[in-house]
Amino acid sequence: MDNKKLIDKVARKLGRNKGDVSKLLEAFTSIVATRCSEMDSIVVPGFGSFEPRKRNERVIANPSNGKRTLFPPKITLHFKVSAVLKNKLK
Amino acid sequence: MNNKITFPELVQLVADATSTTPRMSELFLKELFATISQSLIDGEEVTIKNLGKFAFTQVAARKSVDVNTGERIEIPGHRKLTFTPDKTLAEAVNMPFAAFEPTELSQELTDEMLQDIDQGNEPTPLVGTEPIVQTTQPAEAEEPATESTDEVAIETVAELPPVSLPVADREPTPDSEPIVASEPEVNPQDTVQAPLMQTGTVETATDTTQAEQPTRDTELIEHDAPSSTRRPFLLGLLTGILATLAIGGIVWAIMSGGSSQPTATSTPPVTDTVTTTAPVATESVKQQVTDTCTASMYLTKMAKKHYGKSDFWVYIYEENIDKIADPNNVPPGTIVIIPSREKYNINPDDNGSIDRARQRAFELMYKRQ
Repeated sequence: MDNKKLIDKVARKLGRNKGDVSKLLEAFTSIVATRCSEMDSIVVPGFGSFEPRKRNERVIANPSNGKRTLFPPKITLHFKVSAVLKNKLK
Repeated sequence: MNNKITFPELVQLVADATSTTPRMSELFLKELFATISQSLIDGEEVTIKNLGKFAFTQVAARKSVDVNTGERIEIPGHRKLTFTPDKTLAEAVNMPFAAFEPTELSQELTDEMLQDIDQGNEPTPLVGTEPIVQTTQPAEAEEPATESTDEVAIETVAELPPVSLPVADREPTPDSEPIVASEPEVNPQDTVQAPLMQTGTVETATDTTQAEQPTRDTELIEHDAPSSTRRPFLLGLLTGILATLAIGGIVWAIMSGGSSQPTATSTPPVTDTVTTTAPVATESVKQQVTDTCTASMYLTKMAKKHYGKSDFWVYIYEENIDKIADPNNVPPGTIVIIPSREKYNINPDDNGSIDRARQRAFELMYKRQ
């Protein structure tokens, strides 16, 4: 299901127009972006949680040419499925 | 930071962001996740624009052990739900570290030096220390959170041949190098300190030695330590280098001593801002610039407004450290002083200034742990 169909379905169920639903979805996305960049996780019961994972900076040596590179720290977004949903998916 | 945002909080956040009622926001979110879940249960993957894709991967069956009985069982093959964040979202989430790129380390940076920096020992303060120190600054730059205390450990994955090797290598062939008139030319220490020295006498020497580094490093042949006849030679060179360093250090100290005077005068004891509550657009440095915190106007926004970059919120925080308990959560109505740019060397166009601000932010986060 792509974005359009999802918005359609939700709009129909809620009885709202697609523009509103689209805006709500965008708001949700931007909240995930801002809060997770601050290392907060977002928990949705029965669905899962969006967790930020931080990777520290590290020095990696390329064994072939001996060059050492410093990789900066990084925050990645990870989604953890809730047990409820996992069971439903089995 | 490291908080778990519960569903009610999420409802409130969405309601605030879209100016809808919490009831509406709650209904929407419930419906959204129900629809996504149903689609997934039906076996269809879901793609959300700017968020990501919820899809399935097949997991093969594998043998395992029943935790209760200890007998061997087989975990059947099944499908697993995966989420791949959208590129824009991934970038947005990595925003605090967006400016950093993987950097190649100079050959002279030894494992020992890395460990030293790691443990918090500053390399000897020389004029030319900047390039080396900045590669470690990404670790200390703005850190939103630290999950464990030993964060900044720079892991060295592979052991490189010891640094003494270029030294030993160099010793047998002193004639092949153009010997510069100044004493400390072929210095064994320069593999550690050559790139750091910028005093006039040694510049030419470091140029030649640095040019030879790449060729030197390709000969990864182990050599024994220099023979005993070379020892006095090393000692003599060492004292020569230390002398030059001492002179360089004094020059640097004088130069930085001269530049610190202007800032000393601009730090009058900044106290009562309660009396000057009106946020004033300042003309002169003397007048207090203040601002009020609200739900929509917080430290980073203030920094962006007054300085041009939100990274400088750290200085606003420091200026008002007695008023602000938690920089992530400033009570609305708190009146804060906006310090002048000169006080903290705030320059939004200067990457060094920005990096210092980020490092300060990181230090603050660390302290608060």
